[in-house]
Amino acid sequence: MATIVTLDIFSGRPNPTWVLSETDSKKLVERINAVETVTAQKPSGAMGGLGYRGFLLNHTPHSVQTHAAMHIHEGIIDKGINEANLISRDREIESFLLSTAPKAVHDDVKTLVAAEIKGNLTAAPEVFRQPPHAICPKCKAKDAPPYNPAKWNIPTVQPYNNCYNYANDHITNTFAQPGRAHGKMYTALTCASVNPAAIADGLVNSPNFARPLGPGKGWYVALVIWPGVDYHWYRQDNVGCWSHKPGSTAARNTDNSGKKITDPKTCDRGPYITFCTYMITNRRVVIS
Amino acid sequence: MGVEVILDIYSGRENPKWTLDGPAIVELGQLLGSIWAKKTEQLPQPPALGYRGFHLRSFQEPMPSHITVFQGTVLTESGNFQDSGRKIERWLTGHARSFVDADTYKYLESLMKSK
Repeated sequence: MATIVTLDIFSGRPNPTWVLSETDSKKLVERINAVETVTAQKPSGAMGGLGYRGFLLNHTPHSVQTHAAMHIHEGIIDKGINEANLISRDREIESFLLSTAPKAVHDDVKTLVAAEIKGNLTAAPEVFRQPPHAICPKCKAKDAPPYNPAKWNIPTVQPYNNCYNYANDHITNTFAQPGRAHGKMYTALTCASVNPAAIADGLVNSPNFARPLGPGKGWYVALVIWPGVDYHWYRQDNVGCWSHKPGSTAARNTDNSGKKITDPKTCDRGPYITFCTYMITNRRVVIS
Repeated sequence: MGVEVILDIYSGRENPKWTLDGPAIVELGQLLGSIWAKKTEQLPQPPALGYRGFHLRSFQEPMPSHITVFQGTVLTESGNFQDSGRKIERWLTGHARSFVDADTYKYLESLMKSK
């Protein structure tokens, strides 16, 4: 088993990630198995926010999964939507995970997390200070989904659902492709081909994301293209900023520069240099 | 059994994957053998969009069962190792040529030119 640990703490910078040794993976499983108290609580870090938001446990794409992907924060072990959460008030598992962090994780960060775990947080060290916040635009779509990465970043969902699934807020476990559900899949990796394929699925073009959309009228998404190579989708969440799920990787709300996405047209999209259009999707759209 | 390789690069499309076998595995084993002494604390962070590295699943003892190669670092269960000059990454890129389209390969090749 190869367990990838992500310390969810930064906003403008990438979160530190490391692979647990086999010995530490076993120790982790033993600790998790020892927790018996079930809770209806969710870790507050699952809803985003600033500062220490817990540890995310995932597997490498190939690994045999001896435990589910989890979010551990505030003593709560969140195993995703299909399993009951557990709670351990002493937060020993978080301390243990922190002890496995490599030297590359700055000492100030470790000190801060240790203080939070022990419940005696004072001022944040310099290294941890957040970059200035992006001001999210107002979300005009009443149906816009909340930003909830915990729904997507679990092993039964994350590898099998892509940016198109995420933008449409629809888990199909088929790595959905525009137009495929309607026999009109794109034939080229261009706006002119992917856009009509999405329209065949029920999405509608929009010149911007400013028009109010009432209940039942859907939410805004955006299509971009890596010319000739791939396409990508973003969605506007109910907080007004945008989020996305790059392929089989985790859903996130930052761009390639680690910044919050106020507009997919202007954010850092790496090689996806062509902005095609904003579109509107809704719960009646069918994708596969 | 060979070594499965996934090139982690796309968002909408499925990532390309292929299997190494025979002489390629021997060659990969030699390349990996040359880095085990070079432990590193580096943790390169892949971007959200674009090239995010190669993921390897190996059934070949004593090769680690799961390996991620990205930006000159090889991540395994036993720690991270420095892939000086991105030798392993470049070698994997060479193999990718048969499994990806020309534009993807061109992009990958251009990335490998940087140290």
